[in-house]
Amino acid sequence: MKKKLSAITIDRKRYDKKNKKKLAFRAVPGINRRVVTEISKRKNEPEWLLKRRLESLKIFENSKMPKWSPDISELDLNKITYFADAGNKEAKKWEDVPKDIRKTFERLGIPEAERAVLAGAGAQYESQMAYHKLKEEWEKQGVIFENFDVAVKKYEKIVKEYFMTKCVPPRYHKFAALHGAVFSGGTFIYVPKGVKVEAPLQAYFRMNAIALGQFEHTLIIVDEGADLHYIEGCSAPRYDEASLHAGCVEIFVRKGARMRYSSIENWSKNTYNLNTKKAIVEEDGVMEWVSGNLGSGLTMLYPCSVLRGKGAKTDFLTISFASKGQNQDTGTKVIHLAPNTSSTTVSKSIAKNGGATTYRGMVKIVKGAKNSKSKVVCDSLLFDGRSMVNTYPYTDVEEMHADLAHEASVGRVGEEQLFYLRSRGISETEAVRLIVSGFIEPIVKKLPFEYAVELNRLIDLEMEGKIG
Amino acid sequence: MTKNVPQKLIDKIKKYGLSVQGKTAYKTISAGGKEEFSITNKDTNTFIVHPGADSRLNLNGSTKDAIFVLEKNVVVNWFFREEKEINNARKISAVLESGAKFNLIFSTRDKIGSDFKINFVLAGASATVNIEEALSGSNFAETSRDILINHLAPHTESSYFARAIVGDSAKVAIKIKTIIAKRASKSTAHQCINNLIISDKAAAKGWPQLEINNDDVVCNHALTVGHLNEEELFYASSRGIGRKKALAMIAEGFLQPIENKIYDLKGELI
Repeated sequence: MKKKLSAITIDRKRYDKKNKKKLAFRAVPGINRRVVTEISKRKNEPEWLLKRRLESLKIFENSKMPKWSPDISELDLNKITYFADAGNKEAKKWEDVPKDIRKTFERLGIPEAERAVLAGAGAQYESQMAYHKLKEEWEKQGVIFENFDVAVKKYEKIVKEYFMTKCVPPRYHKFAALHGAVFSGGTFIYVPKGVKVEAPLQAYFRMNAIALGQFEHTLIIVDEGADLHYIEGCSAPRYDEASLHAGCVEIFVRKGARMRYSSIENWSKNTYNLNTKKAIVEEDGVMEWVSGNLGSGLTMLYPCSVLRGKGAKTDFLTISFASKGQNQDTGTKVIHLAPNTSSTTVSKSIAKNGGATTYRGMVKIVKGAKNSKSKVVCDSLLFDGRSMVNTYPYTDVEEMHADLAHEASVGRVGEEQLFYLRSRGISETEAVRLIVSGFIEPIVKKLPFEYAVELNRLIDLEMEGKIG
Repeated sequence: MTKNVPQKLIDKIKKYGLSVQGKTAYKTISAGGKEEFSITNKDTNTFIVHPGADSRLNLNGSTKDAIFVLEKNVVVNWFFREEKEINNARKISAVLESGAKFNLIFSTRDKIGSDFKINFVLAGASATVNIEEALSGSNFAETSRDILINHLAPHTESSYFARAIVGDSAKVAIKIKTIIAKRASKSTAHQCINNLIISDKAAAKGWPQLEINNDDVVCNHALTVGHLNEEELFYASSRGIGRKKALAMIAEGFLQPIENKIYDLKGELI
């Protein structure tokens, strides 16, 4: 156990280290028809995909900034580079990954984690995937874990059917359309009927270049009765120019299937993280979202579950931590479309040193979704007078036989709790740390051991104020 | 009732972002005084009430738009009950100086709907506002509430409790936003909205929002949407009470905690 732990000890420096490698290709900043066509051409994509990209571009150009969000007028979309290629080919073995890219991921501890706890791992560097590997035993059972660009060619029929059509269409909002136009890289996962993948699969996304936009696309189909846990990690070094991350996750949870999507997001503090995540859950399916948002200057992340089949269930566990200059605008969306569906949201946020956290959530129970139940709990912890906490829930119930409850509370770290701990000989910093780790415990419990330790360590680092 | 509103007062109202529109009526109460009256006002658009320091004021009845400017330590109790066949849209605003207290408890039975915009500014330390409402929407009523409570000073308290019965094809949308300013330490804010949907076509929406800029506060909000307990209906029917009557009884019981607080000027329940 000790050895495992040492592999994941965290030093913030390892996230901030830049790799000086020159890019093999970098598109001109800004978005237009030419850039989109160029991306598609470089990837050798089929005609239909280019057509969809251009359609999305049109929607992006014609749509307004979303209202369901904080102010993002400072983000200059014309300064962002929408595609960058480090010139690497995707590898199946770590040894085949170019040395400098490998070094970056080794510094982040991805290969160790793969050996220790994962059923498979993927790693994306800039706009292209650098590594993808699924352990043999799962491959034999028919599990597909593939680079999205490869999947477009290898599993064209499925991708064509599901890619941005049924779950997140480009019309969903402006950034979904932007994603549809310039997406690159990402992961495609298919778990066949009844296969229970016992260890989690992981993908790690790394932005290295300055003022880059990363737009990976994740498409997951968990077939009837199957079971999957997927972990996503993200980081980027710190630059003066803002970066943009606008990924998109589409998940289909079929009848009786179970899916858990965990993400630990740790982008550098001047990244705009405007992610779109949505799942469609069929009869008796279970969708669990676990997310920890620690990095980014501005996060807008509202995972959404559409409970389409009878008895479908979804759980959200989110934690956001905002420090100086950060605005964590997170929340959840649930749409109950069928009878006997249930949803639970537990959102925890911590604001410190002038950071701002916001819970922006929606629960909709449509007519006919009889006996549906929804519960939302948001707790916030405020550390000082400079920080800010907001909650903006929205509830809409059209069904008479439904139950909905929402509650929120805001508190500061209690003087009494601190006093008690100090009377036991625990220093103030240590006491605050204990209170915080108690506060986030429900979320940490849901993560695999190694990740739980990583999350705890990251929060410890934030609490110590080591991260600027 | 004089019609000349002092410029100083108008300035104060504007300073807190409230606007005076149309024909106004003006009522002032001398410092330390005690008054009781029923406000019914049909000719004017805005009714400005200005109680002097340490005065007490009990109000009944309702008016179109109303603006209150409460001086130090004033206590205002305003209770009303409405059952109208028109949509009685209106604005209720108030500025509270230090130590002032405002109790607003009302009940509306909507068949067409009612749109209330309520705006309270807690400008002085220890100002308190308590809003409670019992709402019953039936027929095709579309009821909306847009409430904004601004805590600008320390030790201020606000609470909003709403209970709504939504029946027939009625729709209820309650939006409440409480903002706690940076300097409003040791403030408390509560929001609680309970909806009970009793018909297949009814719908309830809610936006209970909090914006908190100070770490030394107690804030919470809760919102529930529930449905009828079939067991209760069954029990009623086993006692020979028909479904329709039982429904009415349960609805009545649900609103009772708030309705029981609505008194008239004589101190009797309305």
